[in-house]
Amino acid sequence: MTSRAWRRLAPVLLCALAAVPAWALGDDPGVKAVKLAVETQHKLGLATQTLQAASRSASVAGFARVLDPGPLVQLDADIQAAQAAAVASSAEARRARALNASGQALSAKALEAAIAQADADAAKLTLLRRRLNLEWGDGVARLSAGGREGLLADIAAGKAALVRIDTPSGQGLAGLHAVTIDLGPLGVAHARVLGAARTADPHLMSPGLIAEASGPNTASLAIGLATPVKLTASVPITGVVAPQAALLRSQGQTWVYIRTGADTFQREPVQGARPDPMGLFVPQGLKPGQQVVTHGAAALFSAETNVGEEGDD
Amino acid sequence: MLSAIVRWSLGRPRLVAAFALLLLVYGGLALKTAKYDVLPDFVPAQAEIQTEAPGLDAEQVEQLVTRVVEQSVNGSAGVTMVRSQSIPGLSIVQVLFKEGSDPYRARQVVAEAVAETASDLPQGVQAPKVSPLTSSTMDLLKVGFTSDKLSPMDLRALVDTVVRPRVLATPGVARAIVFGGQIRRLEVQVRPDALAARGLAFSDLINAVRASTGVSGGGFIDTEQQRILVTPQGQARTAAQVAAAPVATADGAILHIGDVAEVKDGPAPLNGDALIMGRPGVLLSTASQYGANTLEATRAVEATLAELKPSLDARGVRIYGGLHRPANFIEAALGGITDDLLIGAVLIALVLFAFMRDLRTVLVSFVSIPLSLLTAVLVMNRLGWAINTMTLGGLAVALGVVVDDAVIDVENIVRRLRTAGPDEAREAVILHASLEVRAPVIYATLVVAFTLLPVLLLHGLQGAFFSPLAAAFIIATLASLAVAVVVTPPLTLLLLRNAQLHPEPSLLVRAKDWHGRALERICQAPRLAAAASLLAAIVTAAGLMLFNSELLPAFKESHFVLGVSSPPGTSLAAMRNYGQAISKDLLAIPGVQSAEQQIGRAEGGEDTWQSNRSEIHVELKPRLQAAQQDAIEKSIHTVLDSYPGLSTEVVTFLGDRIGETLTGETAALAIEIYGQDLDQIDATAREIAAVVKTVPGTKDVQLQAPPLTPVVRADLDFDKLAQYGLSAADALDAIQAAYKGVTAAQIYENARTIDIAVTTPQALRNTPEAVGDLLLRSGAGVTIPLSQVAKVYLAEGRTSISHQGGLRRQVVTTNPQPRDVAKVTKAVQAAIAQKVKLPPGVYIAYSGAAEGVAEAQRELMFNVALAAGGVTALLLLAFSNARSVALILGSAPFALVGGVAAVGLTGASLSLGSLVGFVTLFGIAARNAILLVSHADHLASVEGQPWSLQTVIRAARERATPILMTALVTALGLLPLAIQTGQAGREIQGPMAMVILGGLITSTAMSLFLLPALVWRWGRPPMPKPA
Repeated sequence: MTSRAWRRLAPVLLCALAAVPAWALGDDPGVKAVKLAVETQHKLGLATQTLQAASRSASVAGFARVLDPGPLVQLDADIQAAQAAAVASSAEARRARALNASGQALSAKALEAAIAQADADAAKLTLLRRRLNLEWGDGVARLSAGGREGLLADIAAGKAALVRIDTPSGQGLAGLHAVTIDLGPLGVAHARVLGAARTADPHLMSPGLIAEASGPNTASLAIGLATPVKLTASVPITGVVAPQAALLRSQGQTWVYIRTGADTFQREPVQGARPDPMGLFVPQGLKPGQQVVTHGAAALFSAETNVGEEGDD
Repeated sequence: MLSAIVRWSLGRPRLVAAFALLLLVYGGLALKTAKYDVLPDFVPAQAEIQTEAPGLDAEQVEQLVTRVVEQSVNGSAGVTMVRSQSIPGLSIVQVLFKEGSDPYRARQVVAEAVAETASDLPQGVQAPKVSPLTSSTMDLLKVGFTSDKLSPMDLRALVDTVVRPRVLATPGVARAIVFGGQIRRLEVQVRPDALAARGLAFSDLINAVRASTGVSGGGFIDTEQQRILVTPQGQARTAAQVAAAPVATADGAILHIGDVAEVKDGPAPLNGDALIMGRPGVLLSTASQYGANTLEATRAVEATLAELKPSLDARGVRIYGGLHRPANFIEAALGGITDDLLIGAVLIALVLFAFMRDLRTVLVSFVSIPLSLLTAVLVMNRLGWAINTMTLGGLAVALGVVVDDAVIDVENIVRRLRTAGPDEAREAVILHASLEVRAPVIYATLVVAFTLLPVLLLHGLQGAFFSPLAAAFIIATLASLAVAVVVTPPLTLLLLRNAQLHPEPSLLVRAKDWHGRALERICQAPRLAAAASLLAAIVTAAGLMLFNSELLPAFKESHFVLGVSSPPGTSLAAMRNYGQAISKDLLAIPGVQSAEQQIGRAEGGEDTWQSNRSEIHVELKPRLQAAQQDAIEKSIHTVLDSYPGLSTEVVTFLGDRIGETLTGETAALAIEIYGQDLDQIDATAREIAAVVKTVPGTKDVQLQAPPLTPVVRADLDFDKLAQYGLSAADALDAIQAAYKGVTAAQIYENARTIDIAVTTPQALRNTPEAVGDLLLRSGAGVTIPLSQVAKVYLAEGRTSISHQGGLRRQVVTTNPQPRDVAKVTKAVQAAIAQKVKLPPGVYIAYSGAAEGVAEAQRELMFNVALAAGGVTALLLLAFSNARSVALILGSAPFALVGGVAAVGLTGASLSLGSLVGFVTLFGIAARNAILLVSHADHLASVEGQPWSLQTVIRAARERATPILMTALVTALGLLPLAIQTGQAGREIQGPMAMVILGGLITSTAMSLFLLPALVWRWGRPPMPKPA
């Protein structure tokens, strides 16, 4: 573009820029900067806090119920027994078939009986394995016999526990790998998700997960114990935590005041925030390093909305 | 008959003197036992019904509670107006009864009507309470308590259980409400997820808590010899005992409250708080009973506190006894007026001596003044009336007439004794001299009484204020008349029987000679005198019309009430923070003695505010002059202005209270917007407020109900509820338990009740954004977060809904300077008419002090016309001569012109107090005129003098001494009051004294110079027709 063309366009562009409304540039039209004398700030004890970067995973409140491993132990034993029986009967059938084929003193009847036994034992094993899957989910069912054996041994030793994890309507269960179990005064226990449960919790309308809890507090997970859990998503999000004392609600929104100068403050909306023990976790809008007002925000709001207006006397 | 009374009393001078002495002593004693109050009872019969509806928002309170209560009292016998206000958690219905109703009966009517409504109110709403019957000014004493040793909870418990009951039991105390500190309650804090994990609902826990404690009687066991009572003790007194109680589970497992909840002592949610001298503390605010003696009741409460002080000291509690003490104003007012009257009395004595030059003569005149006033006090005592600023005002104004009575009689007797021959019996001379002036004095007194009749007949608030003043005045003048008839003649006889009377002072004689010569010249041009009178009438009328008007002057109470509000939804803690900073600034102002802030409301209190509104009471050091108080008021404004954004106002307590009584508003001008659609009337109110702000002279423009406050809404989705098998009640109960808390049981300890509330941990209650996460549980055990079955969002809701006469209303208020109220009101009305287009169904009305002033003036004008008719009729009866009547009435405007000048020079503001001054002035002028005209008549018709200029001049010369004496004595008697105008206690009497003082100058000039000329030209009495 020639310099002549620039000279012609420049005023037009400037006018166009000036005409862009404040909201289009990101400022809320109803929010104006607040000026509060430093002396008044001191009198009101106005205090600020620097926002720190924080990361939070999405979390959902759920419940953990410690399952009775007895049926699993029994089932495991049954499976082991069935497997042993199946292995034995299968070998017996193979031997009978070989003997019968070589014409060595084994009647067809005996062969048929051996094969039937092998099939029956195999069917029983399949049945038990299916039961394992149906009752304990594929997470447990997927475990090898050794893995299952190890799990049950740990459970028996009080080193592990099987828990069922549920959330209202099954929120947050998809893709979950780990769970923190709140044991109240006893602390927390951690659990690894084994897989989906096969029966729903009718009270929570939850499909449920089966998890293996392990670690130092596992001994406290007595059978039948039901306790709240916090389910956290695996991918944390970065943002800042707006302290509880800094938050103001107005016009159907949540706000904080940011110090923009020695005696100037700007009210900023808190967007997409999630409750946090310290206040609200804010993933967007607020930036680490900003000075947020933690004492005296109500006074700034008064000054901004100016309820007294010129009625003050 | 008059002659018989005077003759009878002259026959028993010692008896009458002894009786007079006895009356003086008795009257003096009566002063000690008299009832003292700040103001007359000016509040009409009314009752206030407060219904606590915890957890409900303003619209729910309006629909579910206020309308029910309103309907129950609407149409009750004698009810003239029903006003209401619905705010979150509280319904306030104010019932006004027709004037003159018995307040006790009115209250009973309301109590009976309200008793039946309790069953119609929703569950959780407490029974409506009719507030106790208090005096008009209500506040008796505000007492603060702070402690470095006790926790806020312990301090509050101490005040609630030890101090308050003792103060309430003190005679004269109707109500004692407590602000601040913390109220202990046992909290069963349960996490909803913990409940859900165990398959429990809030209701299971509430039932368990309910069953964890109890009180019941065990009956008794009758043995052969005795009856033995069985008294089981089943109260769970500690948190551990509550925690140990079992919770019923579906599977029969044993679970305890402590397994699912933490039970601990915690503060109950507060509706209000208090700061004492800028520090957190507890405030005890007492109100006096209807008709109680404020001084006595205040001293009784102080005595009670003095008894408690040692034990409170021992516990490390500091008492601030007089954070607001209306009795201070009474004491200052009474003390001030007493001082003024004493100074006035000395001045009166000096004037009397200067004219009469004889101590005994002075004594006779002088004694009749306290005798008349004390007799009036005795009568008022007998009628059960209190001595207050208004009745004192009446007595002060009556001083002019009382003095006149005392002077006229004695002066005439002395004059006759001087001219009497040595052979004439003194008793006869005194009798004739007394009777000579008696008839005109009686007529003059009746005329004065008639002139005060318009004030006596005022209705409403104005009547409540000024009728006692007029009544006190009339009683005092009648007492004075009685003293003049019964006591003065025998006292004169007793003291002057053998006295050698001094001749008139030569100065006075020379002055009279000069007066006579001046009259001769003036009487040559009677038309000029008439023109001067006419001009005076025009100036008077113009002045009265041009002056600003105000209902009552600003009282110098040595106390200010500061209204401090911030945006709706501001927390108690934020207001406390403001209060601490503002209190520190206020206490740094020289002359400020104490500062106390009360935030929000206390249960059963008269101020039904939310947490964003507070009131700071600033008590000034004693004995500050009006100017000093004004300077402090300016400094207070400066302090408040340094906190940007706050809505503030500075008023005096009495001004605030009177304004509130007048309209239900505390503002000088209130614009009421009525309609049915809340959004529409809110929008109109905002528009009107914007217009009012543009009108010059308006101050403190406010919307009475700030429109919106932040709320979290949870709109239940009924389809979703059905899908999960939840009922609306499941959700609503859970929300209530989680955020408001449910009082499941109570325990009783040391005469106090402690609630056991089921709620959630504080951490769960302080994040509005987390409300949607609240877990709900249906009866079938389905557990689901609230956000799954409801739309939960931040929004804004109403803070207050007002009704008047059943219609919704919004109010815009403004507080122009008192003297500008009428002018500003007109300007506001014009601006609104021009700039605001009212939507259909919306209409506006104006009320406030301005309306009161206008109404009072209209009524006063009507009554004045009535009284004028009465006065004319009376004068016609007395003189049977229309000319004399015209002369007497025609002389009045010239007397008033001095009062008009006095008002003009002192701020051109016409209060009802100064109007009363004008009425009195008219009375004094009429009295002088009556005595002059009747004396001229007497000379011509009784003493046979020819009707000539010399006769008229003689009449004027003989009346000159009493006219001058009366004027001087009255002026000097009222001078201290006039000088102290605006000081505590003289706010009403001061302007009256100023008006009378100014008027006395022109009135005396009229009586001495112009009236004789008018009498000479137009006052010739009708000559008897020849036989």
